[in-house]
Amino acid sequence: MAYRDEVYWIERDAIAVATLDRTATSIANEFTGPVGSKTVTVFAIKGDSDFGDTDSTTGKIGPTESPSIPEEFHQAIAYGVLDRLYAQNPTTIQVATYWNSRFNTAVIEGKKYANTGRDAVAPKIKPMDY
Amino acid sequence: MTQNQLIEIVRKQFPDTPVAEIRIHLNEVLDEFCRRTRILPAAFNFTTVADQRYYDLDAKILEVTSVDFDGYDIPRLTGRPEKRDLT
Repeated sequence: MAYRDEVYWIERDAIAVATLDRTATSIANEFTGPVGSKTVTVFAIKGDSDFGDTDSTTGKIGPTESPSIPEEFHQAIAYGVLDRLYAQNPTTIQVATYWNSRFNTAVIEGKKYANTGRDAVAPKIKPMDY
Repeated sequence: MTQNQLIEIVRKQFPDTPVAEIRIHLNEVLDEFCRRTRILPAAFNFTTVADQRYYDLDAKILEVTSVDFDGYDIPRLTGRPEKRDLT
């Protein structure tokens, strides 16, 4: 059975790709490459774009545009902002606590949404042996 | 819900708060929501350069879940190679 010899690791906000030489006899020769002109696809969890002040070609969310998170969680962003603004005034801390609670409830629902397995693939833990 | 609609919700209770300040909070809260829920999966592509190991990750990536090389899933190395090569 053939195996891919490439491996990746993450270091200093960068991804590194190299080829593992399974027959290497010294540490110095253990990793080489990678070969060029190959497509690497990084599957990831990402943050949403930032809100901007103009409708965008800049990659930001313009005034008439919406975030990429599911529609049902958009209002939760306003809850979080109300939490922060009320928390700036000591006399409205109780109100801030209310909005913080609404925001945290939305976060819990968001976690459930993210883990519903919409891609039909069960969560798995890949064993690694290096 | 658009950015303007979100700002309108906030301004009903904070009519004197500048839009720019509300936008700063919107960005912070949106970042926190995405970080805590891990709700946005994504895929990013780049093409390798011969013998270049390191490639910058998109600034919006919170966590790398898996990587394909030339169409095949490749394993993640725990740690890094003992012999450093920063190219």
